[in-house]
Amino acid sequence: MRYVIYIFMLLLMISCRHRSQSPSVLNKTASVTLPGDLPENPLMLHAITSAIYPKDSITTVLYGNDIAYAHAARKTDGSYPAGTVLYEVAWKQQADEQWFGANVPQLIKQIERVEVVSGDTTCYTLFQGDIPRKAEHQKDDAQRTAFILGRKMLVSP
Amino acid sequence: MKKTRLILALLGTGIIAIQFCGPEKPESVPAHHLTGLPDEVNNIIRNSCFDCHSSQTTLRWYDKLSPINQLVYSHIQKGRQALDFSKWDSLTPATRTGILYYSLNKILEGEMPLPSYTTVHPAKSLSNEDIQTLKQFLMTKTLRDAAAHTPNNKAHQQRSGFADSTTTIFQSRVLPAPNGIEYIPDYRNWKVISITDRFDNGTMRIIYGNEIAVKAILECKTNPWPDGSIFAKAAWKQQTNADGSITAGDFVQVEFMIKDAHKYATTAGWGWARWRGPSLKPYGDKAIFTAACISCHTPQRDNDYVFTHPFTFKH
Repeated sequence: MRYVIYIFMLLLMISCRHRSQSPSVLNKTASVTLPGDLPENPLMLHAITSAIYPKDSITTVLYGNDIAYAHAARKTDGSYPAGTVLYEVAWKQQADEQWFGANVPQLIKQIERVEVVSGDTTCYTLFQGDIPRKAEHQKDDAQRTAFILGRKMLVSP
Repeated sequence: MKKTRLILALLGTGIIAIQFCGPEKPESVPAHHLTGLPDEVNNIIRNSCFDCHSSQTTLRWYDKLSPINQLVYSHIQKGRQALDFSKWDSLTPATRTGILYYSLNKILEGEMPLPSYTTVHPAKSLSNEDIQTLKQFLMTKTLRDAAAHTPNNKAHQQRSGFADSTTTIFQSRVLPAPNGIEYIPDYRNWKVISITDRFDNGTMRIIYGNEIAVKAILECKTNPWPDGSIFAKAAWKQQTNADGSITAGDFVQVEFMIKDAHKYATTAGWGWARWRGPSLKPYGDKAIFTAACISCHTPQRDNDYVFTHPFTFKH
């Protein structure tokens, strides 16, 4: 009987070990953990394209809502329809601890939001800070809007 | 007492006898210095890697003793098959750089030189100074610089044709990977769980996760990942523009990891697959190609073989 109990305990230990979860390794500092003034979490939207700015150690991803994503897949002239929402998320890079020769996002430097209200009317908003807050309007709002709208979708077969 | 002596005598006779019928000693041919590398880098590689990864093998007397030589010769044979620095001159500069980065990462992970080798040959270990020398040298050899200011026309033409090319692939069936895994065409609609700037090989990568993977992230249950989780890691060539910014050039490949602890029990619980180039050619000739995937991911075994540290999506 004693041996049966031992075997049962051993099986239980193996079973628990097999099923148990180890801590998740997530990149929290590079995520939008608090919404601040953001109307939504841009990281939950569709990725349209990406870029790297080595001089400033910055990497970006352009996200879009369903309307923006569907349009970007078909047309590349930047003429997004009304209802389009785009977010250009910029991260400061850090060396990848898992692979020498790679950089990964460290923390969000800023988030730019462009909403196409109608054909000619757009709304640009800049968010900055650990808790994203609306920042003062910059002089180059129009230039940044044109840049973001002009970015083309990544090509994959 | 007599019995012990008899056993020892038999054992000794046996050991002496097997010295005459051991495995064939691997050939050793002098290997040249590696072209394009400074002396200090050459010396490190020559000292710590050449015995198993070149035609020039310096065996100590104890390496030649049977039965130890079975293990030693086998390591040398496998090492040369995996990487042979004697063929350095026949490799392209990009391949050479890739090999050096990969080798350094294996050193940093503690996988190379083999711990069993450095235990017996402590002088073959790399010092921290050696590792810093390799790092500093490699930082000057990124492929990003080689791609600087390359014409953007081809990539631009591709971008314009995004919708068309997508349609084309959907119309013509993509062949499955050699292990039977079918191509998953809609990964671009998944959530981005991370991005990587691989300046070592001049690519930029986006890692996508399917719904099950994203749910696991939301619930912080990613170690192990639940069955049904799928990652797609897509890579594009880095295209350096005149202002120094980098955008995506040609599509390079997409790799998938599909979690099913039972179905893929023999391959670390994951189904591995890769399709390369705009034609989405399946990677690998035989199903055994997954051995290389697992080998590369093994240092991450405590993180369920996943390198990526995903974004969180909680709000």
